[in-house]
This record gives sequence, C-alpha cells and structure tokens, in this order.
Amino acid sequence: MTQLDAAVSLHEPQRQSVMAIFFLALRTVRQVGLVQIAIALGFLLSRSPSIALLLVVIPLVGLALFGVAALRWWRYTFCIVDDELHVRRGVVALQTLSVPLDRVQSVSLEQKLIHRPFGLVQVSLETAGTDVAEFTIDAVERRVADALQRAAADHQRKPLARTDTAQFSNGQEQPPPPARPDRVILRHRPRRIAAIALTQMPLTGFAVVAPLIAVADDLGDLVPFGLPSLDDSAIGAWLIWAIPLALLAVVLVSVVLNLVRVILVDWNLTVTSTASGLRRDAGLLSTTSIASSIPRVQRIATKQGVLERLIGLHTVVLHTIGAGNFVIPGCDNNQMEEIRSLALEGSPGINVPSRTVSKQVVFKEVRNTSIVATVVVLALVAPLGWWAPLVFTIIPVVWLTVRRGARLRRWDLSHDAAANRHELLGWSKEDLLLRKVNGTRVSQTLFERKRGLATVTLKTADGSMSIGMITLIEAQAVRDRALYTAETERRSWM
Amino acid sequence: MPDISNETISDEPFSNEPVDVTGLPILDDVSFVPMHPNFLRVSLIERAIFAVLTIAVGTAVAVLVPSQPWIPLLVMGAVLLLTGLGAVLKTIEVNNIAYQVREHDVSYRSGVLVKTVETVPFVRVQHARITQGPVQRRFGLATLEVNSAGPDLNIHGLPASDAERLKVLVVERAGSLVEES
Repeated sequence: MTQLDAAVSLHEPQRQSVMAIFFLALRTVRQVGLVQIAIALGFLLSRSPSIALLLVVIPLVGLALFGVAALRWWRYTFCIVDDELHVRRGVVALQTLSVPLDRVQSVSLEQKLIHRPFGLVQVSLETAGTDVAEFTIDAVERRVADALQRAAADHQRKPLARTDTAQFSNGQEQPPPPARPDRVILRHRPRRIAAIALTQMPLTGFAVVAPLIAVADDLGDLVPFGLPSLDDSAIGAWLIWAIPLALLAVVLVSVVLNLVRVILVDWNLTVTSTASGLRRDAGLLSTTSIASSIPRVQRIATKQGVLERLIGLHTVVLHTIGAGNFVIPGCDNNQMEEIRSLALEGSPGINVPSRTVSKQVVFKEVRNTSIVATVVVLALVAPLGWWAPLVFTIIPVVWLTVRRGARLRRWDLSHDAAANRHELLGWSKEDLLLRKVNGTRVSQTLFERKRGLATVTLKTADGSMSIGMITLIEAQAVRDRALYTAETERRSWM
Repeated sequence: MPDISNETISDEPFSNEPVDVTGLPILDDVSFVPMHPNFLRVSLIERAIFAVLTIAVGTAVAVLVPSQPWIPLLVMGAVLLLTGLGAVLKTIEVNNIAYQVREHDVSYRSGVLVKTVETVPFVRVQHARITQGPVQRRFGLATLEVNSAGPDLNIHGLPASDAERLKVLVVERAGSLVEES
C-alpha cells in the first residue's frame, strides 16, 4: 500500500461522487428499457383522462427514480481491506462483493463528456473468470480512481518480481529491480492521429453511411436535376458516370466519418510504461484509460496495412486475458519495437521468421475456387447466357493472390517463442511466448493428410496462433516444444 | 520419457538459435489408449433415439398441418440423412478416438475427415468435470471434461471408474505442479 496517494485512503469506505446518482438513475432507465418507457408514455398520453393528472404523475415517477438512485448511491461503498477490494451495495437486499486485488485483470478509467466539468471518472474493473462479475463505479474523483488503478496494478506486479529473481539465481543473488518511474512511450500529435484515420479502411465510416442506401429513393427525390429511370434508353451512358461518382462520394463520406471517429476516440493517444505495466490514455470528448500488467499479455500482434506501409506506421495489438485488448495504432518502427520487446518480457522473440509453408495451398485454393466457379457458371448460364463464363476470371485472381500469399508466408520457432507472419500487400505478424501456451492441437484435413502436411494451433488464455500447411513433423515439433516449455517453465503465464 | 539434457534446451537469455527437436519428449501415436468398445454402441443408440424423436415430431407436424405436409417431411428427411451420415462417420471415427496421459499432460485424439490431437498440460488445468448421459450411464461410460484458461478437452467414452480415477489424477497433478512452481 506504499504507493497509495497519501491524500486518498482507500482503507476507509468510500462513496462515489454525488454525480453518480444521475448515472444510477440513467442505468435504471436503461434497465427498464427506453422502448418500454416510450410505449408506456404513449399509452398514458392516449388514454389519460386529463393532462393535469399526467403533469402530476410523471414528475412523481421521476422524483421516485432519483430518490431510489440516491438511496442506491448512499448504500454503495467500496474500500480496500487486506488486499481485497470490498464493495457493499443494495438497498433492499444487501450485496457484498470481495475481489482479491491480484485477481483484477484491468482497471479502465473513462471520462465521459458529462464527467468532465466535475473532474470525475468512471472506473471499470475486469476480473478473470466468470465467478466474479465485472463491475463499474459510475463516478468518482480522478484521484480516487487513480489510487484504485495503482493499487490493483501494484498487486499484479508482486508475483512477477518474485519470479524474476528466481530466474537469475545462477550463483549470485540478483536484487529485485527497483520500481521504474512512469515513462511515456508514445504520445500521438494531431497529425499522427489524422494519419491513423486516413490509413485505416474507412469501414466504420461506411457502416454509418450504409443505412442511407435503404432510403435511396427518397434521397433521389432531393437531387435537384431529373434522374433517369431504369427503363430509360439513355440509362447506359448515364450510369457510366453515375456509378463511379456515387462510389467516390460514399468513400469520401466514409473517410470523413472515420476521421471524426478516430479523432474522438484516439485523440492524444498516450502509452505509458509504468512500474506495473502499460497504460493507454486517449479520447477527445470522453477519455479512456486502460491499465494492465505485462504478464497478462498473451499474444502480440503487429501489422501494417497497405497505406500504413506507405508512410511507415504500424498497429500493435496486445491481446490480454479477458476483454479490453491494447490497440495502439500509428506506431513508428521504434515505438513498435519498444512495445513489442516490453510485452515479450525479456525474451528476444523472433524478429524475422524464416520458415515457409507448403506451396500446396495454392493448388488447394485454386481447385476449390474452380469447383465453386464451375457450379456458379452452370447456374448462371440460363439467365445470363454467354456472360456467365466471365465468372471464371476469378480463378487467375485467386491463383495470383494465394500464390503471393504462400510465397511470402513465414513462421518460426525459437527456444521460447513462436511467430507467424502473413503478407499480401500489407502484412501482419503474431508473436507468442511458448510458456503462455495453455493447450495445443495438431490437426490434419484430408487434403493435408494425403500430402504429409498438418496444422498446429497453440492456444493461450486469450486466442490462439494457428500455423497451417506445414509438414506433420514440423507441426509435431512445434507442439512438443510448446508443451515442454509450458510444462517446465517456472515463470507464471499471467 | 527421454531425458532432457541442458544441451538441447538453451537457457541463455539472449539466443535465437534454430531449434534442435531431437531431444524433446515426443507425443507418439503408439501409446494412445483406445475408447471402450461400448462407446460406439452408446453413440449409435443416442443417434437412434434422436432419429425416432425426429420421425415422431415430423410426422406429428405433417398430420397436424395437413395443407402442406411435404415441408415437415422434407425437413425430417434432411435431419435423418444428416444423422445417418453422422452415425457412419462416428463408426469410422471410433477407431481414431483415443487418449493418452503422460507425466505432465493429457491428450485426446479424434476426427474422421479432420484428424486432431489436442493436448492440455496439467499445470494449466483449472478444473475437471465428469458428465454422464442416461445412455452412457446404462453402459457404464462417462465423459471427462478438462478445463484450462484457454482450451477445454473432452475425453469421451471412458469407463466411469477410469474417468473418476483420471479426474483425480488430473486435479492432483495440477495442484501439485502449481504448488511446485
């Protein structure tokens, strides 16, 4: 408890900020359901004998809502006793929740727009396993939240520090590493944020635009000039211009919407290396802060899309146990390497995987595509006539794509790590420490079995790494090494 | 189990040599224990019961909704066909289903079209559970479920006593290994 802020003592039962009443009321409304409330209101408005009665009833209901919320706020206290977080809540039925701090997976702080003027934050605690529900403290002062985050992080660090010293016990005793001060690994400037948004696939933006297609007819009426109808003879010439223009417009709108989204979500994205792990803060209107200890990282994914590659940016995703992965877009090479080596916990990892996969995958994909294409062509011959065989043009496209993918595909295994790399135009790579492996699987499809090939899957507590189309001997070697490491390694996997 | 000398596994913190796999303990195919012969009977009986229920429901719907009786009959036929196919595949698969317990892990082999070998190390086991359906109980069989934080392993067709013994072994090994480390 040394790191606890002197001004904030979590040992005493704490209450949330009074503002939490508002959030609790909001939560009750959400539990009842907005639709149900709207229906009830509609029913009341249409059936009520007099408006005056409504004017009395509705404020009364609102008052009762806030009254109950205030009671719930009053009864909701939390404190830390003996390395356990205790939460007491409930008006009628009292509920006591105790979570050992070392079970807390991550503590996220979120500052919504409504929190901001009051300097409050929302704290979400996530624990492993399903027996302890994750829970949220709606509104507390920033320093209380920080103290909570630090207390949880403090406890996550303890087992790591112990095993670290055990690992280096070759003769001389290594002193435990001194607590490092917080260090900022990256802080994205607005230009970098814009670059992140523009190099992403604007799919999220498109998702917002897409529903407009459903009301396309009504939108068409808004266009000031006359649109031709489908049975117009001049439609062909018109479509040549209209379709690309419409596509361009949709893409542009999607890009802009995505830009807005990224600015809102990732503004001032900061990744800090703290004594107990990593912290990620970001957001413009509502800010989010996620903290997690390094050993909780199970897999490390790095990737570069086509556009990211042009300007030399990377996205790093640290898959941690439970929800709430660390997604860090817009890293330059050094930042990526720094985060990756932090997450690898001292292992050198595999920088350039060099093993290849069987080229048989090209044959398999082209064969499967040909079969599907033939069926589709046969089905389309009747309605489309001689246009139907055009479907076959997909085959060379698939062939070239899969061939390039298979040629650039790499994987590798070192004494303590495995890596897997895909590349087409952009690339993506996964790193995994073998001691994080929780189980393995070697499988052979009929196709693989005929050719002595196999797929090996290394499963961790958060997702798995799968390497396919390698020889059975290689797959078994990967499996045996992963099992050996997981079974003999003394360092904990989380 | 072959001995692991320090030469094969490098403990140096910063090396990235190509791996020599010759010294590692190998999970071989020979030591797998096949399923109890009653397992096939249990799976086939379970499927037969399912088929009878399907026929009953399909016929009932066809009789109760006489305007278009061919729709429920068609669905019924498709379900029966799939069940039959499943039974045939199970009959072939049964030769492949087997498990193996080593000092440090437990493996399960299964599959017909896609053959798989899954392994969970004892250190990573969170808990184990035995389930027994009504047909399984009639034939004295049980399914052992080994759960880890990542994957779960389901070992089907164990004699009930073996399943109980295996469960105790798995949980005890898991406990002692965690204490050791």
